[in-house]
Amino acid sequence: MMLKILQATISIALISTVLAGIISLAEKLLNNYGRCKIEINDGARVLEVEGGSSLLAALSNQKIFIPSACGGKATCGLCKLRITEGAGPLLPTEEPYLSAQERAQDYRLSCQIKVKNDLRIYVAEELFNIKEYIAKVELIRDLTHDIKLLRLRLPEGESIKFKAGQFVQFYTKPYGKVKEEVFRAYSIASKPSDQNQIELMIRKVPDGIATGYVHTALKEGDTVRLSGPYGDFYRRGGEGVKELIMLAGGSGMAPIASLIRDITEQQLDYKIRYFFGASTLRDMFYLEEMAALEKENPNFEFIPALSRYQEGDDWDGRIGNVIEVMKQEVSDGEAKEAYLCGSPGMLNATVKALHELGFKDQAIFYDKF
Amino acid sequence: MKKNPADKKFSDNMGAGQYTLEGFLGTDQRQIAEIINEDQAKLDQLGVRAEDLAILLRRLSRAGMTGLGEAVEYRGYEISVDEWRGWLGCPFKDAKRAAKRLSSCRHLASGRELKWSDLSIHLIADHGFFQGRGAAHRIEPEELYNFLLPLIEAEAKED
Repeated sequence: MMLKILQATISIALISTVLAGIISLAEKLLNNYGRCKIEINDGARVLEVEGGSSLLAALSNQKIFIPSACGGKATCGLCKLRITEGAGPLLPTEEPYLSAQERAQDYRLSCQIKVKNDLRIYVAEELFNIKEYIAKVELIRDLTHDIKLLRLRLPEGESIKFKAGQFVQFYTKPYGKVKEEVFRAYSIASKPSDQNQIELMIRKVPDGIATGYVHTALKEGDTVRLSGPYGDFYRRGGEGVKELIMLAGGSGMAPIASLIRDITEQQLDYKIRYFFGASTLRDMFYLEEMAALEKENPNFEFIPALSRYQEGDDWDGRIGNVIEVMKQEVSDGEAKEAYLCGSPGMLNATVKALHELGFKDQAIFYDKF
Repeated sequence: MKKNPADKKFSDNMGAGQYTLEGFLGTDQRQIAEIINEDQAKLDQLGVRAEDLAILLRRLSRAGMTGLGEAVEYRGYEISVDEWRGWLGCPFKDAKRAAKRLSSCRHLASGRELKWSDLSIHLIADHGFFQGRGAAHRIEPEELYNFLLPLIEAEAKED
């Protein structure tokens, strides 16, 4: 009896092993797409890559960096490219991000397109200027209980040319339970003339993979991978514009600080009023840096507002919601542009308030990711 | 227990470090389908649907969002909503995304408190998935039902 049970067990184990082997072999054969050609901009460049990865990753491996804020999870919609051949049918994950016009023009999300045959794609020329950097973490400083400032030094002789307000993609390394590299978009806080280093301000997201890396694993002296610059959030200064209204909260300070530093350094003749909101004193930061900029630039006024003031707080600034404070101070949108950075809810509420003040959409700028 | 292929695909997405640092399964060893079925059985006992509970969570969160980070009172509850830039995809890969938003809510009369993310609302509403035991955002269906009961009863009276 025991012998029969043993024989049956061994037979089942053998059959399972053979089946697992067949499945594994089939997976390898079926998922082996071989070498695929990617023709870019009507043959201006032709890449030959190993099939199987996403187009976004395949291009990144070839040092062609397409903007993406979400790390290829199809939640930001920034990695759109025109793909006229080989992309296959539109995927449900792409649908929310593509307008009817974009679909008609063959736009697709490059993070969702798997390279499994030859492709014909179109890449905006300026994206070829985006570079990859291996930077050294020179400084990590707590700005608040949940925001860290990172200063990243580029290797000797390398420089990054960016416009104030733009962002970089920051790549994490595996750590703890995170087994793969991920990347996220972070706005640059330093001024463009500092071409050998950049500063980022990174607020910890609860349960966040990338911000968790920065807040718990990253150390001064480590090296990190970056690519950039990306984005169309930068100073326009349209015709007749005399004043720039800026509004931010939390780590939204980063691109606004870069814009103000740049304008100040270039001695541009704009009046600037910057409204910065924080809930409590422990969320408020950069007061000394902004005061120094006010001294340097007589056209610049920093207006911080504390929404959750408590009796005994060492605070002599404005009290209340920063959008309400802005509405009290700004009378209209005449000859003004607005630059915003913050959470989606804050952005929506600010845009609504600016519309009520007479600002047109063309005069309001913010990153949509 | 051996996992079926669909379950394996989703449970891979739900592991720690995939979509979020801690993932959606916690210490739960059950298959996703089992988690959903057992929670559904509890909802059946209570006589309530997952999507109806999710509607109420969304309503509370929307009320809280008007406070732009500050607490707001809404029908006997105090709610504040914290937001971060960016979006989270759904681990069921259904082409939906949720804002990185965390609602903290207190029922004023009972003092009961509950927190949930926008992604949790989506997982409950569209997948009946309350997450695995030990997951950071797991909400026990009965706990959620009891928390929302004053609102359910108030709305029932109005109908």
